[in-house]
Amino acid sequence: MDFSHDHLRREARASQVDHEEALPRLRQLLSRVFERPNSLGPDQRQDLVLGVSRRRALQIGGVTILGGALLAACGSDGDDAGTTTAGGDATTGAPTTGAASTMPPGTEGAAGMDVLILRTASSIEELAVAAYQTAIDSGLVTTAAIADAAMLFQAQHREHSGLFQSLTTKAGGEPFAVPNPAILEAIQPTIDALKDEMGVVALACDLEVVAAQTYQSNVAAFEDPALNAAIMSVGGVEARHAAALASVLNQNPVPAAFQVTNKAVMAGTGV
Amino acid sequence: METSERELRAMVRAVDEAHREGMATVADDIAELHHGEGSRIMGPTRQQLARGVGLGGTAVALGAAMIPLSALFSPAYAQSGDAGLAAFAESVELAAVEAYKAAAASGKVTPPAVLEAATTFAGHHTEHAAAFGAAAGSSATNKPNAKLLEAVGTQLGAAADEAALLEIAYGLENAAAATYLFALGALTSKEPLQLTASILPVESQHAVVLGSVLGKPATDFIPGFETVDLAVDPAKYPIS
Repeated sequence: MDFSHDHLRREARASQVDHEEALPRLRQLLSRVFERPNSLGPDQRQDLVLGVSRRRALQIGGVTILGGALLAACGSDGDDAGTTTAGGDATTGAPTTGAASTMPPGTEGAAGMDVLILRTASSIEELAVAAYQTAIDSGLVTTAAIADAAMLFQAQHREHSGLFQSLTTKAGGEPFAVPNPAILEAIQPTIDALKDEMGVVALACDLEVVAAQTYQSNVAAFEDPALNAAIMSVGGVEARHAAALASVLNQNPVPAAFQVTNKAVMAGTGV
Repeated sequence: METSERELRAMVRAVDEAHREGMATVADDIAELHHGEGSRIMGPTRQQLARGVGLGGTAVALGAAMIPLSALFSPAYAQSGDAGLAAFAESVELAAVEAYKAAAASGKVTPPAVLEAATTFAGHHTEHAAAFGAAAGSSATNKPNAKLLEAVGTQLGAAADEAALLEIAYGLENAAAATYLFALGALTSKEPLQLTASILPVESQHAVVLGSVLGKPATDFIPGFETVDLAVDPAKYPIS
């Protein structure tokens, strides 16, 4: 029996389309958990913070301290190698270079470090809220599940900010209720350059990693030891966010047995 | 234009080869699909969000029900200090290692990627145990928590299939994260505090992987805050 060539072509094409759409995704489902390397080499990945290379971070005017703070945190986990802690202009919150000349309200005395840490934490959470809103508003997020995740994570970051702000007040400080200006300035070029959904997810993942590592780095730095558990009640969730987003990016959601702090933001940065 | 039977056979052969190549792992992939991968990894649905889906109660009860933080400060463990807590954490980690080994050996976990995940997580827990053991110093036992292992072992033995085994592992990971959050409220020295803070996030991430493989909504494996609700009680699961 003979068959119309056109008919065969149509049927074969349709079958191939179905085949190519379905099976690769199925194959990737679990193998991507552990087998897919980052698209960047380990050294490249290490040097990129929030999509900004270390070298570039140093060159960004007002975030010189940010770059310096990041370098201090990089390279040796939990290393307290000194850099000056950024003080903030009490009015604008803009970071100043060199030693702080004006400390934020409530950061004097024994509770001063606690307030500084908590203000930095709430500023990071507010930045995350704003970043997710930017992602939602950008029109770049077209996958329903990713959009749902963005809304969920944003809502959770609002709760985290609320916790840190209330703890700041309890510690005698003035809550920091806006996105961290130093980090925002550092990542603005990355935000402006976003052009697709995976870029949005990658930036979100970076932010979550920074938050998770920052809160881990704060443990044992508090004057009030009760804040260790409080901050990690949030830090654990940021790590969960990062794992979920890493999976979307075909990256290892659990890259190591121990979380490191090489991307932690130093307390006081931008606040 | 018409196609001869010979040409048709050649085309079918080509399609068949492509089909077999793609289907090589489909049995494993479909098994994973049934647990709600892919688009469900980021669940819940918008409707679920609108209903305010909260944290699912899917944790596995380890022996007695979980008890609140206030009851976890057993006098014995308060006196044992950081070394005692580190030794307890070591025993929990070693119990987790044995649980993953038992799950892998059961023959009920078949997809290679899931087996690899179990192996990797067991490796992480082994490293955690070693670190906690070092922090515990002479208080370290180098043994899995016997009562915890007994409780989990009973559940593993009763597990009917892969999903049931993964559910147990999921419960263990969340319990570990909760236990370390509790420990962060009890530890006093810098080094064990920082060690615990480096491990808690990893247990949380393990839970995310397992929760997504199990097809749970995201609000189940990504709660708003880590809590101590599922923490393993040192008084009820003492180290031997």
